[in-house]
Amino acid sequence: MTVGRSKLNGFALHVSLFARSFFVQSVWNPRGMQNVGLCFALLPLARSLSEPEKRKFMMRHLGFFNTNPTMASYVIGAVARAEAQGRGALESDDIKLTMGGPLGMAGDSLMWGAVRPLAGLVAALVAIYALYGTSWSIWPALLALLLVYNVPHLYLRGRGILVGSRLGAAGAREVTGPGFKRAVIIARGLLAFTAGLVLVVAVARPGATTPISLALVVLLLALASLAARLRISATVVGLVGGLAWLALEVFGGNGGVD
Amino acid sequence: MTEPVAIILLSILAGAVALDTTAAFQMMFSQPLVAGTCAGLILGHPETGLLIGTALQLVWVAALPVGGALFPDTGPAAVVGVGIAVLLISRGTAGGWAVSSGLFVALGVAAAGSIVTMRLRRQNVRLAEKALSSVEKGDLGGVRRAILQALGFRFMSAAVLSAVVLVVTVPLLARAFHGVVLSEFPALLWAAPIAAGTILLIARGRFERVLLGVGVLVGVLMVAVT
Repeated sequence: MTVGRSKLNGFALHVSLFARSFFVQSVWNPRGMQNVGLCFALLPLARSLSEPEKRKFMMRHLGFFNTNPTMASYVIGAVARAEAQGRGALESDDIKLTMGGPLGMAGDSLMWGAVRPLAGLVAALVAIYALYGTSWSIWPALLALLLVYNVPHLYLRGRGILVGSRLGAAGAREVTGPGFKRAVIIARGLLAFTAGLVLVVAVARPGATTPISLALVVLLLALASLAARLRISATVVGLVGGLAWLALEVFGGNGGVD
Repeated sequence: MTEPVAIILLSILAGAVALDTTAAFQMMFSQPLVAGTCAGLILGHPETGLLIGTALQLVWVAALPVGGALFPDTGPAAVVGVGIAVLLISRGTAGGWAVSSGLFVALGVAAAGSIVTMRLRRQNVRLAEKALSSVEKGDLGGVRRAILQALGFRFMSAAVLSAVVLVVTVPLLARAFHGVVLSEFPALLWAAPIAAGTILLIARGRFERVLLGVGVLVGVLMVAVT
């Protein structure tokens, strides 16, 4: 069976696969993980198939699958190539198995471990200047977050489909090779630099005016670092630290009864 | 805008941003800074939205939805947090109480949202099995239906949770803080060290530690200059 003569070819097929790749985690579940989402994303490949062939195609792609959602497009492209060459039944499982793990690690380290927190910190920095500046606007902060994250995100999603459909499973090499590792190191360096910058600006801008509030900042910094080491959620640290701040504000003379 | 209309709009926004967290798109509309600011825009208080959104963004800077990990549902939480703050301000609550209440309730909603997400993911096992058995029987629309149902459940769970929290907590908190003054809550001062402390752990290598130090120095210079 081949899907080489799919009703969608070339550009339209790539656009369709790209658009559907955004739903690869919609039915994420502990058993099959992204299985239903991957099958949904690949459906444009099966448009020209007869009903029994389409059924076989779908059954083939409802098996276990998991990777980083941004990098899933490399697998989608590679599976599309195998199906177009009539080797889908033979190669799909191997492609998913061999590509899923390395792509997951690459995507997690770049997108989750660096780009996403970096986007948040850059946007927070812009927001702090907006909030404490003389003339402020909400848009620079929003745009900063969306652009810093989505430029690499959309690029990798689009490129994954193109590279995967051209090179098959070998396409994953470009995101597991030394060039990509350098990109991760640079992104993590930028993240660390921005975190230092945000800490100073966020403390200085609203003004840690008293020694007690400055001491609380240092205490919270240590607490958050320790909690992260012990895998305690930032939500818990936020709650504990927030109550301490509140007590400081109320008993420090900032509050009272009308 | 009346309070019930505001709550309905906020619940729809919470449901929409919940979809972006993991179920669809993942284009970061669900990040607290974006979701919170949008909630502020809807309520006509973009500055409050940006303040609370930024503070929550810093607190959850490294909260990541990786694999099956339990992660806070930050987008709907930010929407609820901003909603509570603005609705309390409009009921005459002091700004400090309104903002701190919004932040604390947001932390609770994020934790509750993470439990709801885990339940939905377990329910997704059934949806996936149903899709598989539909296809086996020749009903090829099973996969599309599973996707739509999962998105629907995700949207509704976040929207309903947000609506319930807003309906219950706003009147209670307004009554609790009636006549009690708290001029401000230093949301960013509270959130920034949590972000930096979390990043300290991520920045394990010597290169990253050095750059963190450089960032601190540049920050000091920037503050001194401006």
